[in-house]
Amino acid sequence: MDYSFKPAKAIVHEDTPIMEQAQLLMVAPVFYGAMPNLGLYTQPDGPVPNPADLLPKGRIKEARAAYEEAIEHAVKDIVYVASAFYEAGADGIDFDTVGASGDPDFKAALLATEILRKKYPDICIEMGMAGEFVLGMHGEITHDGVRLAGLYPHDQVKIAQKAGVTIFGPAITTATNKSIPWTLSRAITFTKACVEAAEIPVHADMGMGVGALPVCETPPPDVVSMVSKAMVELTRLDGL
Amino acid sequence: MGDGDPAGVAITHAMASGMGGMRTSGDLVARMQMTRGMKIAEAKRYVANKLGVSVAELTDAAVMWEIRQNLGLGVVYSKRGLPKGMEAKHHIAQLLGIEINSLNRFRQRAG
Repeated sequence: MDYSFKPAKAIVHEDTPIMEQAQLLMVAPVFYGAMPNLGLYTQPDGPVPNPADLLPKGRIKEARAAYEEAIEHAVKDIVYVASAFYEAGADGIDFDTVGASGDPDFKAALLATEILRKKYPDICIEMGMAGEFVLGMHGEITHDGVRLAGLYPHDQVKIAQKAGVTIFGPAITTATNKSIPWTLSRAITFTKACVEAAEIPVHADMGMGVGALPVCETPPPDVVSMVSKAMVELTRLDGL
Repeated sequence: MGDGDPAGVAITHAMASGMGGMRTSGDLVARMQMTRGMKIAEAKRYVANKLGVSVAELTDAAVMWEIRQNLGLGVVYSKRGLPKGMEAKHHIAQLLGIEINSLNRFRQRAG
């Protein structure tokens, strides 16, 4: 199944008993996670006109309206699924790859966070990003007066913690045409600035292709261990 | 130890920079970040203080094995009679003074 809130909604009643069983057995915290993934709300996969079709035709206003409508659908699905899993006992909810569809995607995650924080004051929400730069697919979307397009991790975390995020995950995309030391230096520069700006714990995204991990099926353990250690020692972050 | 897929990456991370999870006190420190929003240094100090150990001992598997057994906090390879699952989480919540979502719901429903 696609790792996104929209398809997760259809099988939430089958999945929540598994969370209940897991919570009975597990001692370590167990989260539920999925992507906002606004792309799934556009035609032909969803109900909203596809901005990727509209933008090349210069229909910018309609494309923006489509994104705004997709945000509404996504927020409803995220809140529905996250509520179901939290009420099934989940220790937290992970919004993964936030901003994959640009600023509307980030906006949907922030709105859902605010609703969930109000609904469940003690809920733990982890927000992991899709990249170091929020793409301006809409371009004019704001949150609390801040334009989301173009935000880097040290600004992303400020708006996330204000919305009610508990743990923030900056994602720095690996540059595949550069050496590991080069891309590691870049990842550390962004992450260190994010940690310094954050009032909440920071857990850097360090899977394949982000956080200076190479993009290959078998990442060499020497590279992964060096990158892992360097990120902890040099940025003083709170987790991975 | 293997590498080669996302699970392999996780293992390498755990070996390179992890606290040791339930073999030590990683899950307890994580819970302080999750429930109180503590940064890692504060979370480690808090847990060490509650356990009566130094921060360095939090990642000592030999020390923590004994402490976790004595306090009923759950261990990876649990022996007969030791707390598991919800029972261990009950002790963790009491020790750390935190709310655990699944535990609270279990208590409500069990009456």
